[in-house]
Amino acid sequence: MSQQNNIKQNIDNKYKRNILVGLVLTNVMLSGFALAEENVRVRTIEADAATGWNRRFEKPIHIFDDITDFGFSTVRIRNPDGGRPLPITENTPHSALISTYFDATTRMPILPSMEGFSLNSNAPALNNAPVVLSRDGTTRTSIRAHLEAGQMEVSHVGSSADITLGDWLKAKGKLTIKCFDNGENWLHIKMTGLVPDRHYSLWDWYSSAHVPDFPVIPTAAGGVGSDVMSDSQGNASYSVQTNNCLPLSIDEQAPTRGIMAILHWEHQSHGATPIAPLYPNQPRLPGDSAGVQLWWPIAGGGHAF
Amino acid sequence: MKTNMKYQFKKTSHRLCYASVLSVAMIGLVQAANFQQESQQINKQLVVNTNSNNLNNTEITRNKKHKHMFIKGIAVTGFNRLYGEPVTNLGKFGYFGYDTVAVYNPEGEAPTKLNKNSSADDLIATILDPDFLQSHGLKSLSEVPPELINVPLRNVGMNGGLDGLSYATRTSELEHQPYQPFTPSQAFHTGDITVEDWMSAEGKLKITCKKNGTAAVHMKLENLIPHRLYSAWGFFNSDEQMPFGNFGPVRPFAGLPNMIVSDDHGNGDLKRVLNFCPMDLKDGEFPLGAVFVNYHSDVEMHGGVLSFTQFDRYPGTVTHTQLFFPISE
Repeated sequence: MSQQNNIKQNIDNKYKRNILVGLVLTNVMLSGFALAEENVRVRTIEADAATGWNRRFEKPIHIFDDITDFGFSTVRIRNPDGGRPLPITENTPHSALISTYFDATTRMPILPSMEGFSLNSNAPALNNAPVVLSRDGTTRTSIRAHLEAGQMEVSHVGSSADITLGDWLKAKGKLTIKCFDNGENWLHIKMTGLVPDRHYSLWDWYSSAHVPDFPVIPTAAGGVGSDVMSDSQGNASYSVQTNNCLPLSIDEQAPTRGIMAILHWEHQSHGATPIAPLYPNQPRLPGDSAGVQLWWPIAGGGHAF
Repeated sequence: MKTNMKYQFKKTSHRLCYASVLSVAMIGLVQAANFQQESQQINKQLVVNTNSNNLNNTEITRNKKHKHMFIKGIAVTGFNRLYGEPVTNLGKFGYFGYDTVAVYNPEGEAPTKLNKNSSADDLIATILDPDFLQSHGLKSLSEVPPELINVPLRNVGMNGGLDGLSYATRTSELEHQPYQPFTPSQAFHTGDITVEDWMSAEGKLKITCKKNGTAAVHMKLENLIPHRLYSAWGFFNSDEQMPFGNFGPVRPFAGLPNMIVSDDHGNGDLKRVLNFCPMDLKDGEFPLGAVFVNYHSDVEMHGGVLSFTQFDRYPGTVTHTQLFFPISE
């Protein structure tokens, strides 16, 4: 009986000790979380689909104090008769097909005079946008969906169904900036409703006193390599450590204006620039080779519509 | 009462949420275990399957009844090259291949060939194999700008200009002063790319043919260079002749985009549907000789081709084969 009591006592002691250890660990964890909470600044911004840089339905999403309603569209609606694409409005049917569109009304230097190089005269639906298939880097051809193409034909992943306005507008994104007191800064982006199995990249746009002709300048968000693939459900996420606490500590000389996700329907990227408007012989213009699907306004005053 | 009910409801929904999360996690674990188990079974079959390919460490087998194919990827030093030797016989194209990485030589213009005796700490550098230039009818090596060769992979030029062709070495994001127009950083990385980093890459490819003549493809990659761009390509035993006019019988594997972005732990994944069954070819279709995965040191994708040779961007100077899945018989 006494042996039994001893065993029981041992078990009870072990039980009590485990509870004690558990409580101590829980406290340590909780205080750790509390500490972490104190030492990090967090900003979260949610975004709906855009149809251009600071554009949704061809209207500004955000009005800045200085660059006011600056922006440009990068997609429109495929003209069923061919020819110039049609504007996107709130009343455009969601079944309408999205097309490429170079917006020559942009206030970016160089670009407005380049409409002659664009695909605007017969803007294709996105899945028919021409792709470079030759090592000369300039010969571009439309490609078909992989399951409709021949074995040796270069093709695109996914169905032959074109991307509709309804598909485009499904995109949503949540951007989180975390800045720790120890100087570590992170950018986290989660996106849903993207075009499935496609190449996207993320860009931080800022204004610079050193380049006054450009209202905004792009830099790859977190450095060159800000690329992500959407999965077959249209989801994608991106996390990167950044060299400064993004919009929370705004550099007065170079305030970040916005962060955006662009879709590379040309399946090509250009390192530290989202497009290549001065590419020899065949400029890669905004809206011709890639377009903005999500846009997060960051700083520069003003108000969101 | 209402609050209590609300609380209970919340509690129940939380429990349900936890249960769902657990279930999903369990399903994921079971699926991963299945994939692993299947791969292991296949590896075991290698011992007894006399029909399996077994060239130069290649581990391939196929089960025609179920139309599955598992291929274990090999970390390589070039297209169909491991330490300068062919990995496999590519049928009509024989032992065709070319080096795409070498060891950085700080004391000379040319890099050192990567071989079995290279030190694990040696830096991986660019190389341009004359066999590549010759097989593609391109200019000779002496006509290629020498500064493109013997460059440690982290120092390969990345475009920073609106012409898309202004290449320069970019500093790591965390060592970079923010907001410098047209002098960008490259996404954060730790350290140089060494022989050990390069040769640690692993990959598994599973191809499952379907009744409709297509095939599901699942490629799992590990120990890649973290947070960087890769692409997957197929090499076909087609009727093209050398010297190749474009890139010969190389096509984006299962369609564009064929990009794979490695995560911060060096893992990558590609799930696609292939428009043919490599184990059950129809008339007019060509055998899939190999699948290979390229690392993009210029951190760019090049549309439907490996690189733009017209602008002196070559396999070996901007894109480098790191994993090779031989399929030839």
